[in-house]
Amino acid sequence: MTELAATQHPAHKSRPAPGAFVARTVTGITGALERNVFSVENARLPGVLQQTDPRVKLVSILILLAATSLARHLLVVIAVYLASLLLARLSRLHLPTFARGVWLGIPLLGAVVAIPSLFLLPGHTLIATPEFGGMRLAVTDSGVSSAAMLLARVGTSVSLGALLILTTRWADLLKALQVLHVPAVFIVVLGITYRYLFLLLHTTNNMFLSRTSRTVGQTSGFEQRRWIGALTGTLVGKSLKMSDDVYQAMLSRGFAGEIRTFASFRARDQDRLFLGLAAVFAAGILLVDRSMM
Amino acid sequence: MTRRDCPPIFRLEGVSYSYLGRYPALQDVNLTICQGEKVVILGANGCGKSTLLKILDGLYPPSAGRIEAFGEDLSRVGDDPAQSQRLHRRVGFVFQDADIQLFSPTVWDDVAFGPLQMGWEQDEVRRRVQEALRLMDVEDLADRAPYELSGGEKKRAAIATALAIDPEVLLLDEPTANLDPRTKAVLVELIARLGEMGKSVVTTTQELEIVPSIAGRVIVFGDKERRPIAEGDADTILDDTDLLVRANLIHQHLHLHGRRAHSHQHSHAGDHDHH
Ligand SMILES: Nc1ncnc2c1ncn2[C@@H]1O[C@H](COP(=O)(O)OP(=O)(O)OP(=O)(O)O)[C@@H](O)[C@H]1O
Ligand SMILES: [Mg+2]
Repeated sequence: MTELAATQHPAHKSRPAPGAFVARTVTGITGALERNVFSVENARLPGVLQQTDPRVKLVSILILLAATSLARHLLVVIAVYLASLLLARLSRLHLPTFARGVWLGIPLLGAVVAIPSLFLLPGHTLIATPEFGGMRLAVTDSGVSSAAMLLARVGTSVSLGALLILTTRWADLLKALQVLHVPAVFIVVLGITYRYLFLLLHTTNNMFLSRTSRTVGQTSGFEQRRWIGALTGTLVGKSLKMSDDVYQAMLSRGFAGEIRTFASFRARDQDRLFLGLAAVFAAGILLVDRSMM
Repeated sequence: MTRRDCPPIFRLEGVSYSYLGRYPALQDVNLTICQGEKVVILGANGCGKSTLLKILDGLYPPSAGRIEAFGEDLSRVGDDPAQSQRLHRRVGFVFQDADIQLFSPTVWDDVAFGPLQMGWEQDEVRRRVQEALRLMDVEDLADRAPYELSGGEKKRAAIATALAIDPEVLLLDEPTANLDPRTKAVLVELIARLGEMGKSVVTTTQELEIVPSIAGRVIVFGDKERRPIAEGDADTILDDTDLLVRANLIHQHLHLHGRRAHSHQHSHAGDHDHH
């Protein structure tokens, strides 16, 4: 996951210049996205989720997401998380990569949101700062448990979403949304966004690589920042033009406002079984949740 | 125009186009393209070739003037999805930038996109995709992601996406740019073959060496005029050194002379500056 364009670029082997750091980070991130989010490799593995009807998959994931947000007990949310890991395993995803991807990146955001609740909820004091102007900050037990709950929810939801996206071809996902009566306009926009985000990433990546290859020696931080400013401007312009171009390319191939895709979904018994299991699991777990004190 | 006996596909009368109402790209273009014709639009960078093709494909409405395709006025095609689809059933467009053309997760999905929008039966779609992939010799690439392909592979895949609809007319925007000589030769042969299959083919290019193989008629766009300044068969146009220099397609001091020993025109009287 981290063998990226940047490390393939010979310049980085011979010269680990500090100036290359920004470029390396950007090509790293865009390269990773290109290779992972936009790749269909995972979606092609012969796993359980890959072989499930996309509509069924979408609905099941939504059910599990609902269970995650309705649950009041940490253990219950953890159970849903474990279920998502089991699904990832059954879908032949590489578990360490899957778990790391979810817990390293996104919950940073969750943590930022969760930290204040450590302090703000009333409860038994676990640790407290010394008094400070008549006030003190105290970490309370309910603060801790609600922060833990928040993190668990975010992590679990992200895992579930990642399962859906990783195991479904983008075109099928769009089609599934269509079947579920999500408005066509929304789906078209999503469809274009997908391709166009990809092109944009690709462009960014290339611009960085071409700059790196044109740069001899080190560049100052100032130069780097100035260059990034210029790059941002260029990218905004490019992105506008690109979304326009992709739309034209779709029009020229007969697109007339409603995306038609190939997959004709035919729910089979195994799909019904999957949906049933997801619903029973969610219902069961919520029952347990409500009976716990 | 000498030939009046042809059934016209495109008819442009006084067509102008400017981007954002400010940057003129085409000025007062009069042009008729007939059924079965192989037309090459020859012109330097920025003379409006891509813009012209987009107007032919109904993607831009002319800022002034009138365009008809298959006898239908195209001025309102942007507001009429049914007309747009009718037009694009008959006209295939291969964009200059293959990355724009290939917007699906795999080559197969991309080639299937057009036929699917036409609402054809699934078996029919499969058959068309297979046929288009075979014609462009990219069957092996069907499951690859477009961004994994080389420039030449991308180009062939892009042409396959347009061919899958089996259009009567193909608009090819600089199909051989940035390709190595062998890939270029293969592509030129494929384009010639499409012409032999009875399709009308409009190709833009600034590469003189590919013109004889793919052109019945050559239309030269002026570097600054932004409209046709000459037309004729490939031999006549390619022999007219003055014209080619004026259109900025060869440079007085920087061109190869395939056929004959050359003498430079060392007078710079006819020289043009670019801006
Ligand atoms: N999106 C745009 N916005 C503003 N001006 C544009 C845009 N696209 C093209 N132009 C301008 O219109 C003119 C014609 O452009 P066009 O792309 O049609 O030329 P071209 O003959 O295809 O050139 P090339 O050989 O480089 O592809 C150029 O002067 C160009 O600067
Ligand atoms: Mg062009």
